[in-house]
Amino acid sequence: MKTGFEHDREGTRRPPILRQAQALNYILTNKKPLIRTNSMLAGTTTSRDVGVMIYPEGHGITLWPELKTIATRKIQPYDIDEHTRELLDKKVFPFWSDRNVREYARAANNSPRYQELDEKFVLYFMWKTVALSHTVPDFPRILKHGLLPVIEDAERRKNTVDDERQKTFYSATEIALRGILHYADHLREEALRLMAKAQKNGPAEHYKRFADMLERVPASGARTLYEAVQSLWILWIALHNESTNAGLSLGHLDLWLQPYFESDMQGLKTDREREDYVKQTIELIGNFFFKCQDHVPLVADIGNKLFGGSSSDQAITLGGVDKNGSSAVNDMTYIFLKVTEMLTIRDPNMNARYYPGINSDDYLRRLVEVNMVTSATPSIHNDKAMIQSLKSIQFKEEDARQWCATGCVEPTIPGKHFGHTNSMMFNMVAALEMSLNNGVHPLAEEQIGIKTGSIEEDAFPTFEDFFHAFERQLRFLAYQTIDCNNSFGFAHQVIRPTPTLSSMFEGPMEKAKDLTEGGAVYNTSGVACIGLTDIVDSLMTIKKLVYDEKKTDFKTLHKAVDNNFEDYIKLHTLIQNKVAKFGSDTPEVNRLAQRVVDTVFDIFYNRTNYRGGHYLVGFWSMSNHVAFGTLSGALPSGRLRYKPFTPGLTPENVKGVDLLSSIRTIAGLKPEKMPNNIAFNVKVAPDSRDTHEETVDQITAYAKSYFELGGMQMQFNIVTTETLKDAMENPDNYRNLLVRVSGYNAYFVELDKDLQLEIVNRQQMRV
Amino acid sequence: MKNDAKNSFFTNPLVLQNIMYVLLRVMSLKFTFSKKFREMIKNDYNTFNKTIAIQTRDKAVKLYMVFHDGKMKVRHGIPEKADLTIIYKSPEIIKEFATLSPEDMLNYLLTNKLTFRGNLSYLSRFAYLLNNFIPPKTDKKTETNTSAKAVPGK
Amino acid sequence: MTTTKIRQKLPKEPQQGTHAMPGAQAMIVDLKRNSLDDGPGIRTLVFFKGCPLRCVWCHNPETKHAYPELAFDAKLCISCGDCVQACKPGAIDLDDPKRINRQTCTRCMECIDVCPSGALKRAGRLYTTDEVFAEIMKDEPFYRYSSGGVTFSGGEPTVYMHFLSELSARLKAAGVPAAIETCGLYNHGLFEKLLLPYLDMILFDIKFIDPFMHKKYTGSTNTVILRNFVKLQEKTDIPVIPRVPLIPGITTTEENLVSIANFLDRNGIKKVELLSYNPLWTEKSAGLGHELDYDRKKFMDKGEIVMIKQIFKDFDTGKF
Repeated sequence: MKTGFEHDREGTRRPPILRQAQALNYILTNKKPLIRTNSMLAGTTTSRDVGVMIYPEGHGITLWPELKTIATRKIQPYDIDEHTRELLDKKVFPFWSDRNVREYARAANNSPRYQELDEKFVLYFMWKTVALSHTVPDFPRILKHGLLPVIEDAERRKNTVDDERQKTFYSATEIALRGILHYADHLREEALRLMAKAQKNGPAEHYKRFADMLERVPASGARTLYEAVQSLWILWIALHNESTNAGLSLGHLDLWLQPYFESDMQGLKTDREREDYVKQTIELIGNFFFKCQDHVPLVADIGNKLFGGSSSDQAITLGGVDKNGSSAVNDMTYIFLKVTEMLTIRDPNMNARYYPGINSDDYLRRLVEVNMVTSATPSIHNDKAMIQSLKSIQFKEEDARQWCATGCVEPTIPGKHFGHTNSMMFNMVAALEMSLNNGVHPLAEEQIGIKTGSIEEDAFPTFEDFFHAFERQLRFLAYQTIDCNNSFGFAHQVIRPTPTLSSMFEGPMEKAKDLTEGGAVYNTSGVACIGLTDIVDSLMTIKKLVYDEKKTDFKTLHKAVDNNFEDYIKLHTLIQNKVAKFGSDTPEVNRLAQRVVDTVFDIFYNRTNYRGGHYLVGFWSMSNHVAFGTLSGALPSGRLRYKPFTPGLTPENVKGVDLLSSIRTIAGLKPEKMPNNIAFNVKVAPDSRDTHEETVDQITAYAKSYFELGGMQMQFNIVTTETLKDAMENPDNYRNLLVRVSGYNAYFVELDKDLQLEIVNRQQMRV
Repeated sequence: MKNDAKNSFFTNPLVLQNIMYVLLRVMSLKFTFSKKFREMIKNDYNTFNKTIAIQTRDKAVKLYMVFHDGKMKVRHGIPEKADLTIIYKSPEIIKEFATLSPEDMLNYLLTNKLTFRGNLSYLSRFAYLLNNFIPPKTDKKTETNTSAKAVPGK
Repeated sequence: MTTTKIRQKLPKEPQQGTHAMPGAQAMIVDLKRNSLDDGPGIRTLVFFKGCPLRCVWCHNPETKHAYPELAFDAKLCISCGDCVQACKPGAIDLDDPKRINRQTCTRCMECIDVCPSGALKRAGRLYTTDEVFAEIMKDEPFYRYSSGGVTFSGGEPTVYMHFLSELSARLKAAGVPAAIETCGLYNHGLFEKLLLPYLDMILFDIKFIDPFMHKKYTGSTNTVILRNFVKLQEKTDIPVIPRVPLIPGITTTEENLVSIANFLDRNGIKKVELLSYNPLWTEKSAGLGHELDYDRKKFMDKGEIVMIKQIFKDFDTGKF
């Protein structure tokens, strides 16, 4: 299979990884070096202060239809000038029309059925059409030693291997990393130029600092915290220019930066100096946060529908334990929390680890307090449950302890684990719909699944028979996604190898193997399973009303579902009131939920991806619970047609489901069957009569109890329904109102209307 | 509903087929007469030589366009080999063809009103061509103060 | 459903001012979790059914009688008519806004089973201490981390003195703090012996000081109540917090509130909880077919609140 660029302009054969390295080197070498007067960090992701990244070999071309209207569309408009538009329409997009991941895979596999199903957009969404990304590099190593040792290592290895392919790999690494050094050099020259132009004392000093730092980093190791952050920022720019930025994450930054903080502090003599230093550090980290927002991921209008309001989800992880199991909470943890609290911005996506018994109560209370002040962030993870979960599926304990949140909530072992933790959003409800309709998907109106029996022909004498049919549809659909993901994975190996990222991992350098080819130590793929609540509530209805109590028959229920419960008000009311729901902590419902989780875990875990790793399931949804929901029919759970599914792993806001029951329910699910993590959203509205302290105490008690009961992750939306309603009517007053959608943060007013309504209606627990 | 629609003049497949044909013919004329428009399918970098077919699911409406060397020809029927086939769910949907705004083209995929076979990039490109042929609807405009600059990442 | 079995075991209606016979079981309406208003922290409220008083404003009308009742919520009813078919005595009429003819209803509860909407509900069933203990313990971590616990409410929990004694002793052993909300009409000797050792807080209603007013509006005089209150001050170190239900036109007269304030002052009490009037009880009462002697549909207004605050200005009134 040809990509159409096997050769360079001179006609010399050129392997993909070399092409990627040369492209990155070219971009970084020719990139305009920008240093802003008021910024503490040099360099920008794009060639402007703030820009949109377009990767035509990924999903960039989806923007094509909108080139004329993009500046005026409702959600996330982008300014675009005539020159850029012409360039994209006439040169860039036509060139990449056949050379992007989606089209390469289609042609290579002769338009496979699984890709056709992918493009129905209602069954699953494959993230590899956009990006692979979704991992955390080994930043501590590069920050400590710089890029030069990596380049030297590549050179040395290149000279010791005979294999041409291996030689190419090392050359590519070297070329890519040299591009980064060029860029840093150009930034340094720019700093010197600005310094010469500026007046003495003020700005000149500012630029001199940059020039001094850039002389050292990222080529060599950082000596101070400032150098470390500047180095990190340049590496971050480089990674974003190598490949699409979707969920590429920054890692355990408090733990990683603390040594620099400590060594800086040691050099300070007076309390006054130390106090000033802490203030400067807060400002520096604040600057870094803002810098992380200097680019916007490209989202076509169709993407806004599917992933409303999501930014690129650059996750930062705080706290928890270090690789020896001791508490990792330190000075930098609190500095990051302070910055989070002060800025209230959606990206970076803050994730805090809390290890019950090892991390202090004060720390947890502080997390809750920041969550309250920002109304949505950080999300809080149970370190113990997560480490246990990872240990149970092949990860070494020492590695598991180093896990970092990636993208939304998913765990990655930094620098060892290429886990594409969001390889797909999997609509489990579609499988349920197909099991109700003998394999026909009601919206697609065609036979998509296998024939598992018709309700009208009494194919299911017992509930077990029906569950079996559901399981078969689930397996069928899962295998389609797995084939699809693998085909896109192979396309990435040809279209978008990642030499820069690979050089920041353990494994690729030793094996001379790119990350996309399985160079890392751990090579899993992550799945986000959507609709667990809807499935459990539907199955429970069927079990209870049709089989156990025989209050209705399956044909009637099926007809009611097909008719969106119109003319079936009594049955609908019965379902809502007399069937125990997921989240009510009813043993029978809990068992059923665990059974569905186990089933989907087994289906995926037992399959191998294109890099030789397992598929790991998690239960969170970004905003796809809305997108998939608006494309799906009514369900036996009583959910009406086109209504959103429930987000992440959050019980439906219904009778019998109170906050404590839902906390107990979610905490009761086994973490080892949900290794790709969960998103449990709890919207709490504080009582206006309570003091700040009281509210923080109450919410801390919820969180602490949940974690003691074994819950994995929890995120609070602390806001009143009135506030949200008012924000829908007066968006201008609420530009900064942050809400957690499912695993990520978004500005409420930028969300699609359906999603806004869903959040307003989401379970509101009175505190 | 469906029966009513079938009886209506504008959803009669034969009428639709002809309206579509005329519309696309006008489009092809625009390629001939407007240099700026023609440059979208033939320029210094690239010439768009592909075949795009348009059908309804029941194949009641079927025609196709052959793009070649800056020209576009319109034909009735199903081509031997199409690089892209756009399949509309029903005549009701195809009726909206003329007023379709470009972002709707991809959004129709979501609601299964439209499916396709072949290359999705060409569908995006065709949507943009249409967008330049028929001015986009303006009712989607709203003022905003949060826009970023679009620049190619690579 | 075990309707018939339960019906056979109905306890007798307790007589006012006396104490119903103990047993391993108690009639309970509901357990409300995650309550934040009746004592410190996160609490579970247990609503016991049965009360020696007959306050005209009773905010929990479903807890007055110690036998199960049939409650009807018109807002939930979808008028499907299934209950009419199921009702053997023919006590249900869809055209009657009250739906149930309480004279003919035998409280067989057959209609509840067929009702799809939950508009028809059983108020009250018998629980064993095991059952209640297990339900309470589900939320144990929440109590621990919020300094919360259990609050026995009602109705009048002391109606089930022996049941309570057994339950609260077990809770104490399990480290779960327990509070009680009481109307104060109980036998102090029994209370001191059976309950007091296991309690961590007592929320004690003071409605009137004038015994005639008390008799008029609650059906009973307050001699025992006030005496019990004073005794508690002497006998225990745990917090005994007086609570005054604010019922406009009845308990909120200046005269009554001033005399309450004086009474508390005399007993050296500095903290009082003032319970704002909530008119929602009238709907609940109607749903149970109870006759209303008092009917105010409005919440309290600013003027009333200011007056009350002024009277209790020397007290700690918490969040009022």
